[in-house]
Formats: sequence, structure tokens, C-alpha cells
Amino acid sequence: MTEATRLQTPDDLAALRARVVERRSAKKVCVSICAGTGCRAQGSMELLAEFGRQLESAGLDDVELRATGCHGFCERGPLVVIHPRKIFYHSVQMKHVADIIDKTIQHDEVLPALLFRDPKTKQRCEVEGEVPFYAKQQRIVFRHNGIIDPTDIEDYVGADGYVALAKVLAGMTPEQVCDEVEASGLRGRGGGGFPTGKKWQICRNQPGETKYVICNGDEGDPGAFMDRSIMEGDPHAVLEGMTIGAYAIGASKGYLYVRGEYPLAVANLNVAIEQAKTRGLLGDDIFGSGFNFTVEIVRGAGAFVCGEETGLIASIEGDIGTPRQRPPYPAESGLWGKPTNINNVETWTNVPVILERGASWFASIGTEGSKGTKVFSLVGKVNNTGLVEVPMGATLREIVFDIGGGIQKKRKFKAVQTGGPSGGCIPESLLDLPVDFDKLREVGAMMGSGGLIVMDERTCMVDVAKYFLGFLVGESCGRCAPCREGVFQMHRILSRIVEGEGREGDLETLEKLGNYVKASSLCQLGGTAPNPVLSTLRYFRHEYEAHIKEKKCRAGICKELVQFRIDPETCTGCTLCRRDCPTEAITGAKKEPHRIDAAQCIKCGVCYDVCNFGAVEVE
Amino acid sequence: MIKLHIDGQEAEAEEGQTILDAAKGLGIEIPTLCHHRAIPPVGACRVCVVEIRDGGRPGLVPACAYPAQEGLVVETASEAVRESRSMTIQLLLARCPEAEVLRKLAEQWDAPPLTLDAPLDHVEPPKGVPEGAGDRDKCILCGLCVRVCQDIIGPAATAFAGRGIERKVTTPYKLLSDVCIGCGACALVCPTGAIDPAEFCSHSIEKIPNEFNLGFDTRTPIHLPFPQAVPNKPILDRENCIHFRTGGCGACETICPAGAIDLEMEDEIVEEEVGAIIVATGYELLDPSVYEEYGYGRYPDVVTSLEFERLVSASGPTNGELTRPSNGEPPKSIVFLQCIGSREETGPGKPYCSKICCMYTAKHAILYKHKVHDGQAFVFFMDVRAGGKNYEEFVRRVSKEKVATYLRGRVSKIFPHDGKLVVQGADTLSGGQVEIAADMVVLAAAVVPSKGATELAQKLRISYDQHGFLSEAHPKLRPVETNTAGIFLAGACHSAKDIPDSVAQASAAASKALGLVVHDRLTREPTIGIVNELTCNGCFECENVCAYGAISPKDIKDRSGATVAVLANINEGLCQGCGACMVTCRSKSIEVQGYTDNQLFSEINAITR
Ligand SMILES: Cc1cc2nc3c(=O)[nH]c(=O)nc-3n(C[C@H](O)[C@H](O)[C@H](O)COP(=O)(O)OP(=O)(O)OC[C@H]3O[C@@H](n4cnc5c(N)ncnc54)[C@H](O)[C@@H]3O)c2cc1C
Ligand SMILES: Cc1cc2nc3c(=O)[nH]c(=O)nc-3n(C[C@H](O)[C@H](O)[C@H](O)COP(=O)(O)O)c2cc1C
Ligand code: FES
Repeated sequence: MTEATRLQTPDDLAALRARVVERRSAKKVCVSICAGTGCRAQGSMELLAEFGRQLESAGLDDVELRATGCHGFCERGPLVVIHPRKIFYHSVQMKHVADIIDKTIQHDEVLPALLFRDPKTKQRCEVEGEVPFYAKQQRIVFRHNGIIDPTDIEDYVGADGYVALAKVLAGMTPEQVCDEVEASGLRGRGGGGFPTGKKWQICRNQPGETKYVICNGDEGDPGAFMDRSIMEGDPHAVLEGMTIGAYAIGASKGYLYVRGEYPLAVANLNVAIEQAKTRGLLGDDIFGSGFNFTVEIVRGAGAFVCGEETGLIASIEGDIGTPRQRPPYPAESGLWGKPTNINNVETWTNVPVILERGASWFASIGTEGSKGTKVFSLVGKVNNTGLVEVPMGATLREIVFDIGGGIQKKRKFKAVQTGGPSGGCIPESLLDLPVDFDKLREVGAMMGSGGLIVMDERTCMVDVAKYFLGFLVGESCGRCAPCREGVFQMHRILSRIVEGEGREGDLETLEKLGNYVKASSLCQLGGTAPNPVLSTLRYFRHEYEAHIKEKKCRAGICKELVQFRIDPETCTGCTLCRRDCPTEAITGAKKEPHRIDAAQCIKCGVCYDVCNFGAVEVE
Repeated sequence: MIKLHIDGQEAEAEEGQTILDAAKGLGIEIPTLCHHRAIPPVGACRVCVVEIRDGGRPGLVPACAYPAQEGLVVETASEAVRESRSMTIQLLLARCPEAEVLRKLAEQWDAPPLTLDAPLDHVEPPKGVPEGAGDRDKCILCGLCVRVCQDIIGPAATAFAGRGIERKVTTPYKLLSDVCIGCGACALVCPTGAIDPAEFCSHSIEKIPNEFNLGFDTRTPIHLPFPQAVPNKPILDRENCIHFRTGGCGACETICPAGAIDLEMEDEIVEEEVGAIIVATGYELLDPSVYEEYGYGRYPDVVTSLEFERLVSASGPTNGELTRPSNGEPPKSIVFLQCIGSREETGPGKPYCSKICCMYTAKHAILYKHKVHDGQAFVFFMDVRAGGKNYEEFVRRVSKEKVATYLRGRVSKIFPHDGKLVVQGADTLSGGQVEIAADMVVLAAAVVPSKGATELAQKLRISYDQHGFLSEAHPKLRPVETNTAGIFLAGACHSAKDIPDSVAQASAAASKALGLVVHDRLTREPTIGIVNELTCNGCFECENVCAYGAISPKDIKDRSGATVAVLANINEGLCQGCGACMVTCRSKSIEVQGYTDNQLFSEINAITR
């Protein structure tokens, strides 16, 4: 890094960018290693150190080593990209380091074993873009992730960072900024999908000197990690977005509320804030415009409901993170009673590009009502899991089958659950649904923060509904009666059903309670909590009925409704199951077919899991 | 003014008011549980939901916490509202089946019991608190207690802990609270009676005995002295008020919707000049604990007749249910003892007959049978003195109809045995000893003048007898007047009497007093004292001897207004012309008009001429 001078004018920024670009392109080779949380867990930091050591001992000091943010394909980590050819290696281990240096770096040879092999075409993919997982993605939010070093502001500046801020402060009025964002059609990525520009206007038009902007980085949805990846991998984009937003609404103080479990995000954001301050991009008189803005990080204490905006504000204020009745909305009376604009991490990250490239460019992407892209965290029974960014309107089929590579173990697709714990389950018949805010809501699901859980035929939908409701029972703040009592009672009914105690009328009660909780709850946690039940009742009612009337779980998941049986034809009499059975319910001599005594069987499923011959059957 | 529509009517609200306020203005009632007018709303319980039809985002919102906004179209009892409200009540009932308010609401809003399973475990008590204190099973988690303590009173002794269904009201670390000031505001605002600060306050909270119910129940520092008090307004008892004791609390000021409480206010002494005074200070009962043998004060089931009155009264501590103070069970047998301290020549009692006991004991026997149909009543008496219109008939009915068994004789001893009180006494008519195992004993204690009656009499300069009853001017001719002009007597301050006698005397006293004040001029005795100001030297010996308080000092001023002398002055309305001052005056400066020295000498001269 060059001496950290203050950038006093947009020209200073342009000059710095020119220097960085020149310096970067002069480098012939760069080893870029993913240092996102996923790859770190798989040893990418050790790999980075090893590369450092070996490059040094090989005397290759002109090879640049770069630790980047998350690429999204964490499942195949650690990921290593060798520039300038951008050769994409996955699952790289320590033993590969010498080879990579020797072959790829020194002799420009590709190591086929480390390349991704498309299971369909059996072709090896040399660069990221060829990998089917990436091919259909369009990366706007993730524009820098996996490319720049998040702890170096110069990397960000080199990638056109802070250009938008310079442009805004040099020549746009706050109203123009609001208008531009509104014209882009950007809607909040935190789940509600409220038009961002409009929200800014409302906040801007409130009387009073003191206003705040908040970045919601609580990301409480289990399984979602796009916000974390952005904060870790591109912290300056978040800061730049917030600074622009603060200018637009007239705030001079911002808060970044980061989930407590995200230490790396906090570390990288702190580094970014310090660097931005040194460069004069945060603090007083930014770019000589007279506009002042500072940001403070607040670490969340780990409740899902703290992600709800009013709960989050209470949490910043030092209270228990409990949502309160709106109106007044935060835009009217938020943090410390002052007008407050709160946006999600991904929303803020979209802001700089919109102002840099223009509203009409952004509005050209996506569908009628939902513009731009959305990052999903694709998990479950698909072959490729990870973070995927697609334009709004991409179909579920594209996401699940093209990007996700279809269902694992060649099983049958059953449903995809979107929108986090209080989202809905979408059946196969709706696989061609273009995914956007409104379409998802129409089918009884929601965008939420962008979780996508793929389920196969071995998933029991009643069990799934019960699972999500169980999460929500634990996460309901308990302030309002419908959510606290209603969701609890729904969960109890579901528990009974999966235990084979379902009764006539249970489904009607579930529906009644579900609609009631949705309509009567104080915040949107309760307002959406019944979705998993209502959507599965809508599309998979027959499964519920089978549980209640026939006492059967066709997916073979609900233990109380399942019978385990050993097929005498297939059983080899290896005795493995007999030895592992905790209740000694299995009998049979060695090399003779075994059998299960139904009276003693507690349906723990150990036999099913241990059998190497598929001889244990469930029905 | 904000204009909106509620149930088809036009409503008005001020900035900052809620839909609930606006509806109240129209007289539309919306049920609430977690709302209290003095505490900022949170909209937690959701029974107050109403439906926004137009003018805002359509849907259900809590009326208590939703601001009244221009143009809103609101329905307070639509299908959707009723369904939601009914479900909320059912769910809360599933949690707290014992809560009275919820049961009432369930009836009102057609919320049949749901076949739901209530949460199994309820709130754990703070550490160190005995099980069973308070009624946690009734907590609907509305949060009013937490909010009143935090937002209104200030100490924040309680808070919520836990999330969702595990949420509970508790103290930090479930320890007894040192910051709780025991004000009881939490219990006051709790809609279900689930909270009792005694549960978690680290210092003991003393209950204030309710004087009117003779300590059988307790009251708060702000209280109505008794049900028919005039004026019928509560009073604040400073001695017990937390605000005056600690400087904290002050919740009443915030909570009173009329803004009627002003804690800065001081007591004041009001002076009035009046033309007549009627003394009606009544009587008290002799404290029967002086008689060891009856065990009053030692055995809770031995009570005085006045205490019995409270125990059977519909406005009493048990709402009219007669129960034994010791265990709350209805007394299956009861013994009334008459003449406790009356007609006693020697000993701590009084020589006179208290006059009212025979009649009220007969009444008590009837009241008792009214409450405990299968109960047995006994009366020990000396003589039955039922002089008065229909009195004898009344008592005879009581004994004839076996309402009570009348036993002529005295009781020698009462002692507890096996959960009962054994009453040992003589039945002089059968000539034997009786022993009755009673659940309760009622002592008809003697009527005595009320405390302070003699001090009052001295202040008013009226006379009283050896017992402290106030004396009338003449037993036959002036029975309601005192010797002091303008002061009259009414009721039991004069002697033991019942209500008819008291009312008769009071009516007479009132008309006498009115007779004084209706005239423009006062008729007075012609023969009153006059002071010769030329010779009076202001020694005020006369003031000391005047039985009627008619003499007071008077300033004599010169032309410039400076006081040159202080001399005796006689109030013409009060002076009875008794002449005590005249004979006391050493300078012979007071004479009685009509009997001055000059007049007497003239008379003598005329006779002897
Ligand atoms: C157990 C019991 C049952 C009875 N039942 C009956 C019955 O059934 N029928 C019946 O006719 N009679 C009954 N009596 C009698 C009845 O109570 C009296 O006749 C009646 O109360 C007398 O009325 P009073 O106004 O003279 O005195 P009280 O009722 O004693 O009233 C005197 C009032 O003056 C107030 N006072 C005292 N001193 C002062 C002061 N210095 N300044 C200002 N205020 C003062 C006192 O607080 C009190 O409120 C019963 C009595 C008893 C004990
Ligand atoms: C129960 C609940 C949890 C939420 N969690 C989050 C979260 O983790 N992150 C987030 O950005 N928004 C979350 N939200 C949405 C926020 O309330 C709010 O709408 C959002 O932060 C606004 O930003 P946006 O307009 O950019 O979407 C949550 C909402 C609810 C009801
Ligand atoms: S009274 Fe309005 S929500 Fe409880």
C-alpha cells in the first residue's frame, strides 16, 4: 500500500485508481486464495501461508498473493485462482501447493485434477465462468467478492470503488440521489421488499436535524450467509452504499449492526472503516463537499428477532431486542426517537453500482416489479451448494438444476423452501416460477433474505413444517400473544401429528391458527411464521392426511409412523445391525437372514443407517 | 383535529391519540388487557385489535397502540376482528385457565375453550420466595407490571426474561429485589391479579389494616374511608404513602385520569365563624380485653359486637360471608354474651345499662341464622330490656322462633379446645351449669363515650357527666341544649342510645339550631354582664371564671390606631348573666345589666323612701 493520504477531491481518487490499476496489471502472476469463512474452515489460511513460504523459497517474489472474500462455492473450498489466466482450482490441499507453483505458475501448465469436472458433460472447466455453478449467475452484488482483497482499500479503489460516492458528492443533490435509487426499482433485500428510494424519501422528508442510517447485518436466517460474505469480502461497498444513503437522507451517523457470530465480518469492516477514515472517505468534509459521516459497529447478541428493524433498534439502544408496534416506522421515529433509515447489507451493496452505472441500467435487469439480482444461499439436497446470484426472474428450475446441478444421489425433487424459517415450500409443479418478490408471495412463500433449501423425496413435509415452527417457537420474542401462544400451539399440534397422534380437525385448527397468527401478530416474525405450515398444507395436504388418517409417513422420516423390516432376500446375515441395535430387537444367526421384533423395536433407525446392503426397509 | 371513521360514525382525535381513544370518544367499547391509560402502549395482548378498512394499510391493528390517523376507516367488531379476538382470548385462556378477566371476555366474545394444550411449566418464583405467594399461573405476559415499574415508578424491579413461550416476568437473576419500593403499582395494573410485590421485594411490605373493617382486611394508602363516606372521594394517608415515606413512587399523580392528585398539597386548617354547634361525636365500645376470662384479643374467634357487624356486612371484609376469623370456615355455632361491662357496680365496667345491646343482639341472632342456616345461636343475658315501640315483640320472636336459645346468666370462662371455644356459664333459670362448644363468641361490650369527648367538652365549655357523656341543660325541659348558648347535643355522645333515639334528638337539635340562625336578630338574655372600660385594668380574672367562654380580650386604640390598652369584652350572645365575672372582678368593673349597683341602690332608695 502506498502512503495513506487523504483523498480530498474526486480527482485525487481518480489518480489513486490509475496508480493502482497500473501497478496491478504490471504483475504477471497472482495467486488469489479465498479467505472467506467457508474456505478458512477448510484450511485456506494455512494454504495461504504455505504459498507464501514456497514462493519465497522459490524466489518468486514478483508473484502476488491475495486473500479474497467468499466466491460462493464454499462447498468446494479452499478455492484458488491463478491470474492472469484465472485458472480456477477447487478443493486445493497443502500437498498441491508445490505442484501449483511448479507447474502452473512457473510453467503455465494447468493441473486437470484440481479443475472442476462438469458431471453432465464430463468436461473440465478451466475458469470460474465455465463452471455450471457460475455460468448462469450474474454478479452485481458479488461484483468484487472473490476478486479483491477486502482488507486493502486500494484493491477496492482499483475496482472502481468510491467512484459512485465521488460522483454523488460532486454533482448530485440529495433529492437526485433518492430519485435515482427510486428510478432503479431497487427493493429492500432484507425480506420485505420495500422500495428503497421511497424509504429514503420518507426519511429525508422528516423534520429534524439528527437522522441515522443503519445497516442490518443481523442475518438471522439459519443457513443464509450472503450478508456475511459481503461484509467479509467487500466491506467498502457496504460503507460506500451507506455513505451515499446518509447523504441522501441527511444523516451524519451510521450504525452497522453485525450478527455476533460474524467475527471475521466485524474484523474486516473495522479495517475498512479505519482505512476509509484515513483516506478521508469517512469523517468530516468528505471529498471537500462539507458532508460528514461516521459509522459505528454494533455487535448483535444472537436473537433472530433482532433482525427485525424495530427489534434491532431496541437492541442498539441497549434494550432487549423486542420489536414494537409500527407505526411509527423507523423512518419517522427510529433510533433514539430520530428518523432512521435501515437497509439490509445487500441493499446497501447495490447502491454504489446503481449510482455509478445509472438507474436505467439497473432497471433493465430483473422483472417488472423486482429489479436487479438476488443472492440466494442454495442448500439442501442439491449437488452444488453455495451462494448464487441471479437476476430477478430466474426460474427455480434454473437455480436448482442448472446452477445447483440437480438433486443428490439421483433422487427425485420434492420441494424447495424459500425465505428462511418462515418462508414457504414450493412444489415441483411450480419449478418454472420466475423468482421475484411478488411471485413468491403469490404462491405462499417469500423472498426473505434469500434462503433456498432444496428437498428430495426423502423429506417429510409435515416434519419440515414442524422443524421450522420449532425454530420460530424458540425465536419468537414472546411479546405479543398471537405469535407467542399461537405458534407454540401450532407446533404442539404438528408434534402430535408426526408422532402419530394426529386427530380429526387438526388441519382445520392449524389453518385457523395459522391465518390468525399471520393477521394478528405484532411484527412480521409472527406475520410470516405460519408460512411453512400453510404452504405445505396448500401443496402437500395429502401428506398430512396420510399421517393423521393412515398413520403413515411415506417419506419414512417420522419414526412413530414407520415400520422397519429386514428383507430376507437381501440380508446377508452380516450381524452388523444385530450388534448395533440398542434394544436387541434384531435376531438371526450369522449368515442367516435377520429379523426385527416389532414389539421391541424403538424405531431409532440405527439398523437402517448401518446396513451396507440396503436390506433394511422402511414402510 | 384528526377526523376518522369508526364503525360508520365520524370520530375525532387529537394528535398523539390512538384509535382506542377515538373510539372511547364515541362510546365504543374495545376490550383491552395490556393497556393502561397512564402507561405508554405496546400492543402486546392483541385483544383490542380492530380492522382498518381504508385510509391506511388494510388489516388488523391494535387499537391501543395504533395512532388515530386522518381518514382511517375502522371497524371494531367486524367478522375478522371477532375471529381474531376470540382466538386471542382462547389462546390466553389455554395459558391461564384461572384468570377471571379472560373467562369474562370469553363469554363476551364467544371464545369457546379450544382443545389446545396449555404450556406445562409456568414462571418459577424468585429464589427464596415461598411457593404459593401470588398467582403466577394467571400471568398473561401483558407486561403492564414491568412497564409501570420501569416507565412510571422508575426502579425497574422486574423485567422479562426468556423468549417466546419461555418468556416470564421476573427479577434480575431471580433474586429478591432490593430496588423494589413495594409500592404495589404492579399489582394495581395487573389485569389478572397475577403479581404481588411481596413475592419479590427483598424488604417486607407492611399491609395497612383497614380501620373501617376493624383490621379484618387491608387497604392501600389511598382509600375511601368507608363505603358511604361523604364526600364519596378517596383520601391519601400520608403516614403510609410510599411517596411521603421514601420520596419515590408518585404513580397516582400520573395514573389519575382526572389529574386530581397533587402531592404538593398541604393540609390546612379552615376557620369558620358559626352561630350554632351541634355535637354528635357518638360513642365507642369498651375494650373487652380487660376481662381475661373471655379471651378477647387472645382467641381470634372471640369478637366484639361491632366486629360482628363488619363480618356480616355486605360491604365488609368478607363481602357479607360470615366466616370464623381463625380459619375462614362458617361458624356452625355461636354464643352471644350481653352486658359485657354494662350494669357493673364494681370492676372495670360501667354502672349504666348500654341500652342498645339487647336489641342488636336479637338482630345479630337473626342475621346469623340468615347466613348460616343450620347454625346454632345462644344468648347469655342478665335481663332483656326491650323498652321501645315493638321492641319486646321483636326479642320475643327471636327466642320463641328458636332463632337463638336465650340463657339467663353469666359466663365465667372461655377456652379453646379441639378447634372450638368452650363457653362455660350458669343458667340461672334451670339452675345448672352450661358448657357450649362454640365456633365464635360475640361480646356485646358496653357503650362508652368516644375518645376525646371530654377534651371537646372543655373546649366548647359544655358540661359532661362522670362517665364522659355530655350533659344536657335540663333533663326534661331542655334535653338537646347544653348550658352554653348555641351548642346542642345529638346521639350517643349524650348517652347510650339507638338510632331512632339518636335521630329524634338530632332532629330536635337541628331545629333548635335553625331557630337561632333563621332570624336576622338574635334574641338574648336581657341580663348580661357589661364591662366598665374606664376602670377595667385588663387582669382577665373574669375570663378564667366564665363558664360560657363569653369573655375575651379587646384592643383599645387611640386615633392613630395604636393599641393603648387591652381590656375585657363580653360576647353578648354567649353571656348567660350568671354573674361569676362580676363577683370575681377586683376593680368592680363588671356589672350585670338589670342588676347594676346603681339600679340596686335606686331600688333600695325607692323602697325606703
Ligand atoms: C353492635 C351494634 C349494633 C347496633 N345495631 C343497631 C341497630 O340495629 N339499630 C339501632 O337503632 N341502633 C343500633 N346500634 C346503635 C347505633 O350504633 C347508635 O345508636 C348510633 O350509631 C348512634 O349514632 P351517633 O351518630 O350518635 O354516633 P356514632 O354513630 O358513633 O357517630 C359519631 C360520629 O362522630 C365522629 N366523631 C367523634 N368525635 C369527633 C370529633 N371530635 N370531630 C369530628 N367527628 C367526630 C365519629 O367518627 C363518628 O363518625 C348498634 C350499636 C352497636 C354497637
Ligand atoms: C423476524 C424478522 C427477522 C428479520 N431479520 C432480518 C435480517 O436478519 N437481516 C435483514 O436485513 N433484515 C431482516 N428483517 C427485515 C428488517 O425488519 C427490515 O425490513 C430490513 O432490514 C429493511 O431493510 P431493506 O429495506 O433493505 O430490506 C427481519 C424481519 C423480521 C420480521
Ligand atoms: S390492549 Fe391493545 S394490544 Fe393489549
